[in-house]
Amino acid sequence: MEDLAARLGPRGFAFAFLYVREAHPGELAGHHATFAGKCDLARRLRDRWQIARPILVDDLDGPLHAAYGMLPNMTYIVGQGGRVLYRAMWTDAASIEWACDYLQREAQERRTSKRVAPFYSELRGFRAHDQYARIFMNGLLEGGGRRAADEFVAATEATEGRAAADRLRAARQELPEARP
Amino acid sequence: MDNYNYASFPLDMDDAVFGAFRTQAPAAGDPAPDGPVTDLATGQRAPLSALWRSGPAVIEFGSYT
Repeated sequence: MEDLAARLGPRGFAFAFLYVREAHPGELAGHHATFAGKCDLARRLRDRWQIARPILVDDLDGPLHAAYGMLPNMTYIVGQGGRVLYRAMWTDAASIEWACDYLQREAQERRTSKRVAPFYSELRGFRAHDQYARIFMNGLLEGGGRRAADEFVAATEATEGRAAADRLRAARQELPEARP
Repeated sequence: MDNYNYASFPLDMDDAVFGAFRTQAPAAGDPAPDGPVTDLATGQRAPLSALWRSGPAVIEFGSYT
């Protein structure tokens, strides 16, 4: 997303990161008890991933997060008129770039007095799956810690079943952090 | 909001939150919710809508964990 922001920012798109609640709190990074603590973790995120986009912090009890659907890593594109132009449950740079290109072409056509009518559209997105479990488990261990990883495996077993949880357990065993 | 900042990942997160996104979150064409946010770099508060005042805005939601 940082690369996308660097390329599309000069074309008139404002990029920002809205910091919300910890998705997977653990012993390394716990839940937010204070707004100052929330900002401390936002700085840790900025420094870990070298985020150059403006980071905006939602209030402690998450009113904007709730208003937008409360998922941990969604992305919205909002037009100058204040209407949602694109939304995705998961941040996906490829479809965001496609949407920005599409929206910019449409805006240019309107500027040349071409008449357009809006319509509603949806897209079923797909995320890269190769090595996903290993990468995700590694992120949990490095972010929240072992407790965050334990809790996610337990939640996966409760919602998706034993096989899905076992895939995560196997991925975790491949990681050096998980070995005793 | 009760237990918004949960200390432990809820076992029913997928059903409770992910399932509601399609039907309850703002969709394309809907007004974008607005409210105050705090700029991490400056500490200043401003409406989120300041982002889209002069052009389209791409807003990613997330956290450290």
